This record gives sequence, C-alpha cells and structure tokens, in this order.
Amino acid sequence: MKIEEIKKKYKDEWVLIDVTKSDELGQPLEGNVITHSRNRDDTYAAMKQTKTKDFAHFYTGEIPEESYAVAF
Amino acid sequence: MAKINFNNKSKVIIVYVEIKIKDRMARLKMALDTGATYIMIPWDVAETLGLEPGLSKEKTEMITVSGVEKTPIVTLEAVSVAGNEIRNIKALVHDLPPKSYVDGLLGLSFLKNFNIYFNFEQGFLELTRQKL
Repeated sequence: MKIEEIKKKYKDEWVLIDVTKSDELGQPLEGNVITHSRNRDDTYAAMKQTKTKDFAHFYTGEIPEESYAVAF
Repeated sequence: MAKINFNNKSKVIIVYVEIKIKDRMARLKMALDTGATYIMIPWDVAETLGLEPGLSKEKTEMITVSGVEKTPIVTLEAVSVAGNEIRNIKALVHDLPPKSYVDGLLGLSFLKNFNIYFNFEQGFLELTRQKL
C-alpha cells in the first residue's frame, strides 16, 4: 500500500509498517501495515514483536496548529 | 549536499531518520532540534533494534521542562537522513509524550557533522557534510 493511501485510511493514527519501497532520501513510499492505533503504546508493543528487517513508525496526522506550542 | 523539504507551517521541523543496527532498520519521524545534545530515541525502538538501554553503563542527567532525570546513552551503528549517514553515534533513550507526534529528536550528535542551511520561506533545508 502506498504511504499516501495509508495516511488516508488510518488518518490521525500511529502506524507501523513493513517498508517495501523507499525513495533515495530514505523516506518510505510503500509498505504493508503491521498495525495501527490512536494509542502509540499499541504500535510500540507491536514493534517489539515484529521480526521485519525494515520498518517505519509514524503518526499520519498533522501537528495541531492552533493553541499549541512545542518545547523539547 | 542533500535537500530536505519540510512543512514550514508546522510547529516543528520533522524529518525521516533511518537507524540501522546490524541487519535491521527503523525509519522514524523525528523533530530536528538544534537545542538537543543528542539524538533521542524511544525505549521500545531501542529494544526492538536489540539495544539494551536498561543495561547501559553510560547515563547522563537530562534536563527537561519537568526536571532532571538519569537517562541511558546507547551507540547507534548508523544513522542516516536523506542519504547522509553517520556511524557510531550516541543517542539518549527516552520517550517523548505521544502528543509530540514524533518518535524522537534529531539532535546535535548527528547535526554537528553537517553545515545546515534553512530556508523557512520555501520550506527546505540543506545538509552539507563537513570537511574532515
């Protein structure tokens, strides 16, 4: 499945995928969804179980722009 | 030189980071943070890649907005951003809150190997490897 399709299908969720295709910058282009959840702990738990050699983990939504600031 | 596009409307600059340990690779979204000393990765990613942060003898005091805490340091075999790879790089193991919407921080332990040009108007940055 293409990354753009994954983002649409699992909007505003954390997604763990087995990467099957990436671009020259290392960004995943296509992959098989291993799991998805609104709770990041769920996708992290699945990550520890997976044996895949090349995986990607990301949030599909955008960081809220209103009333929100980030300080690490 | 690598050119990386980013969303200049976003609250943070987010980039894909590849972490390689032996025969496994994790691709994570991280916030580029020139104020962070190290790369920061989550505990679960570290353990999935076979690192054992709980057994790490190297720890540092990490100053956060919520206080000071002891945090393990691990060595990552290779870290790559947009095809620019740095080997044997130190990283803190610490979980950012889920509402950070990223898995970690791309800090100075990686960034200091490059000269970086930011173009916020057009939303891209360029990494140029420093001459040794």
